[in-house]
Amino acid sequence: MSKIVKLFKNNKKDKPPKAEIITEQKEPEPIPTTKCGKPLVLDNTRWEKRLQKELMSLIKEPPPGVSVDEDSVTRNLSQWKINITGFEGTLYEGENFQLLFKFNHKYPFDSPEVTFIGNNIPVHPHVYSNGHICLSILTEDWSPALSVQSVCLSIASMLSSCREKKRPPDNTLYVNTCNKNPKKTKWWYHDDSV
Amino acid sequence: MSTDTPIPSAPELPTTSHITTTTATSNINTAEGDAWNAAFNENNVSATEVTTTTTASSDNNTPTSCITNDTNTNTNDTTTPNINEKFAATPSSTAYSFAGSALNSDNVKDKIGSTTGDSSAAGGGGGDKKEEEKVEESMFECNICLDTAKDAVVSMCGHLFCWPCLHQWLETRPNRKLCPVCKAAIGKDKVIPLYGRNSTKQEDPRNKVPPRPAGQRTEPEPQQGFQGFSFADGFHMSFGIGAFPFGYFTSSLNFGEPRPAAANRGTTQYEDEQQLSKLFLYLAFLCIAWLLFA
Repeated sequence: MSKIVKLFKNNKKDKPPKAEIITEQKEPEPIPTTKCGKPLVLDNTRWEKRLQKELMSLIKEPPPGVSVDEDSVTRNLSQWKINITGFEGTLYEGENFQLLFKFNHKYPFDSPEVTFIGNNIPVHPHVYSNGHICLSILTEDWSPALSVQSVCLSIASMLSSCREKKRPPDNTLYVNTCNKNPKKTKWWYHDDSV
Repeated sequence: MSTDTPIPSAPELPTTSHITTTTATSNINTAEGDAWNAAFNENNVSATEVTTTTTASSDNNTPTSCITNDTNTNTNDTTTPNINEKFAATPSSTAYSFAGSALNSDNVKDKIGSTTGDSSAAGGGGGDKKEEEKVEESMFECNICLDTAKDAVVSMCGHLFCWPCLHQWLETRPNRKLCPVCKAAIGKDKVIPLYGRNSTKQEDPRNKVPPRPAGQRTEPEPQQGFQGFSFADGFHMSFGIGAFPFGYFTSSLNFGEPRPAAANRGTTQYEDEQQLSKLFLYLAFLCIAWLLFA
């Protein structure tokens, strides 16, 4: 399969990119603007305000094993890096993982995009080797009352309840065919045990 | 999945609204309703509700200045010390502060604390007032914007929201209207507006829909007509067949984005990849064959 992909990539390189290829997956559209071109300040500040509040509470009272990479947040409020540590007594004891949260301007009405990044991606039946996480609250079960903290807690508990370290059965296929954005994936949540 | 947001528990909210409404009705003639009077009278009402002694409630309807209120608290001290004891015993009922007047009510409590400093019960409760203050502030936070609820509505399941926030959430998922906190059924007719005393216009927040964002339209991709023949830089030519089979794959294969690196030789993932690669190759041959012979 990689052969085919490369073949196609080479073909496309010297041609100008066609519309049919680009249109499929677009980056989230920029912040909506009014007719006169000004950004909708009201909306804009609201999600930033909420993120600020969450950040403050997360820095002040971090849940066990969770810490925010403050450098990354000060650089860009819409992308947070969060370090989580495997709890004692679990399969991931002592391991350190890094999560990347991406927020868009629809937050908190739209869920953040959460993936594992870095070298150490947990080997877990619901975590793909590219860092994508199969967790219902990250897509269809998202609610605006959830927060970064509660998502971190859910992920930590998902890791903690793991009984056997293994990749999802469809890891290879998914990793090779998925979109970069896990929210574009139509997830099928069938396993509540882990 | 756990939601750890500090939320007011269901049974507390009705009492709040009850108290605020009683103060609202009993203090109609109070001039301009500054925070001082508000907090003071609230305290009185809650105290009288707890103790059912009506010595203090007689002062409620007179438009009083700060100084007279001070003396009132003093008389309360001397005549009915049990009220103060109840204050200290049930701190949650004493300190209902209005949204947005946190600073003022803080001053008020300091004043009350100083006037009632001689009674031992109130003095003991004064130490962790700041913390109480914090907890109370977060009690009236909207569960969505985490700010003090504006145009507050409360759901049947007891969760507090700003109406604009809740409205936007209901608009986001019009076919699945669930409470963001507990996922109970929720809707416009299933929430109750909350009216504080100081809200000047007591209109139903549900009637004012937040200003709708302006319609968004994005310009279509610039269509440059037929690009098949171009002689400008080098010659290339392309022919298309109606339903080009690989157009289907572009939706899931993302040619524009970098591929994940191939797995290391020997791992199971490598073998999987090889198998997949073969599978797709055969599929491609099959498609080509189908195109040729069909």
